[in-house]
Amino acid sequence: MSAGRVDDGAADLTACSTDGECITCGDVAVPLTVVSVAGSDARCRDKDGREESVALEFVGPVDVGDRVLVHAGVAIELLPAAPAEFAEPAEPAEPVSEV
Amino acid sequence: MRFVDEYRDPDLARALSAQIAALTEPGRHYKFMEVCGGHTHAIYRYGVHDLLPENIELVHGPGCPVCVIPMGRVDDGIAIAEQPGVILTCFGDMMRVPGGRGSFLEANARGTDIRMVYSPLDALRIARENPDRQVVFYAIGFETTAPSTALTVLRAEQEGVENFSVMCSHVTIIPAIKAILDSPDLRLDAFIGPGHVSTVIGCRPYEFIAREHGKPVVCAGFEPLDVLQSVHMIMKQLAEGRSEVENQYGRVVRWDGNELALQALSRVFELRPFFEWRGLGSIPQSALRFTPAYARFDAEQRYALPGVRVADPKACQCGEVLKGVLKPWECKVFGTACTPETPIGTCMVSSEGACAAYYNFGQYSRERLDLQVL
Repeated sequence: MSAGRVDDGAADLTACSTDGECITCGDVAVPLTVVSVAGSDARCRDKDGREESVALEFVGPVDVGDRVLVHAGVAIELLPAAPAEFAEPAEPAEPVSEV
Repeated sequence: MRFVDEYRDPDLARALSAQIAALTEPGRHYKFMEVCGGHTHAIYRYGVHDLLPENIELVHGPGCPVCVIPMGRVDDGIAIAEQPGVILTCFGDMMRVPGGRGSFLEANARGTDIRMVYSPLDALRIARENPDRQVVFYAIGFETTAPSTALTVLRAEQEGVENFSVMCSHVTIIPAIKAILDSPDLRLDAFIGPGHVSTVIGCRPYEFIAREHGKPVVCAGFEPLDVLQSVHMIMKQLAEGRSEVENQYGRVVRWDGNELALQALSRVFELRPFFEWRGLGSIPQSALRFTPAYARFDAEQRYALPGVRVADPKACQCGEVLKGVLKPWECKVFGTACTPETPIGTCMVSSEGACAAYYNFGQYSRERLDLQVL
């Protein structure tokens, strides 16, 4: 049994269940990458491509590509930029068409 | 896996383990408390305790938000949910916490509408979508989570959402640590400080532990190498005769915390004079309630609550486990009458609860300890 927030058909990043790990109760915060910003909210993506809406009031202005630490749908810290070799793409890479 | 493998490297772990062992004094027993349930989970999940010398003991603290909720508060939540037209919302783990009248899941079986949410902002969305219903968010958690509740209340005010309120059971970590330091049952040498709570409150609030109690505190991340490195930093302090607050989780935690989150907290909430913690009893100024300016969002003022103190089941020894006095497996009902499927005590509910973490990941160690006893 699980319930969570599935935004716009994206994969369920924010599952909270009674029979598994509850990431909110567990004081877990996850690093996500900002993919778009609209007012006080951002769409953010995790390393597996799952997305959620994140409130930004506690981290101030962010740009696409910034990394934020998110707990319960709220960014609680702006993370330092990842080293280039670890950087996550803000958008999925375009598929390369075969010629 | 990016960002993760670096903190789970077995060669680095072995090197740190050897450095820790080299710092131990023969014949001395070291006892460190990991305050946060997230650390307890990581320690059992990755077997961190097996990488430490026999004379370094990690004991589990009260930092599991679900575990410290007393049974009477669960009953209060059910009483709200039983009001006509109410949708009660809560985090997933809260659904199975046993109260005197059963859990939220059992209340739903009797007809209440209690829904799991990932964020208090989702509870606010449910309120917007159901203007003819009253939506109450059952708020639990430490300073990591409390800002998200404060932010949700501020947004509800801004948007004029009147059918939304919060039953606030947010707690604060420092008074709980003070209660443990004052407990005669436990002699601790140092603390592994919580990681994400410190993202909000910073490292400064722990300074009294180092200054007045002479015990090192190291704020730590949640990967196995984070925990090992924090133990190494503690051991180095002890070996050099220092007691300081240090920040191992510098990639996330700033010394002064998150000022914007703290401002939102202090605008919406103030300290309660007293709050009852499961296992630790009533601790002064250890929990949050609404400031008068936001009292209209306080579900405890909107609804008549039983507010009855309910004693824990006699067989349950969560209190001793939460204080670090008992190991989970030393509880009389651990793994027999009390399991994650049918928890008697709160420590068996959340995966960050010491008992559930031990039950899920600690069987080998328990068998080893049993063999030693034999």
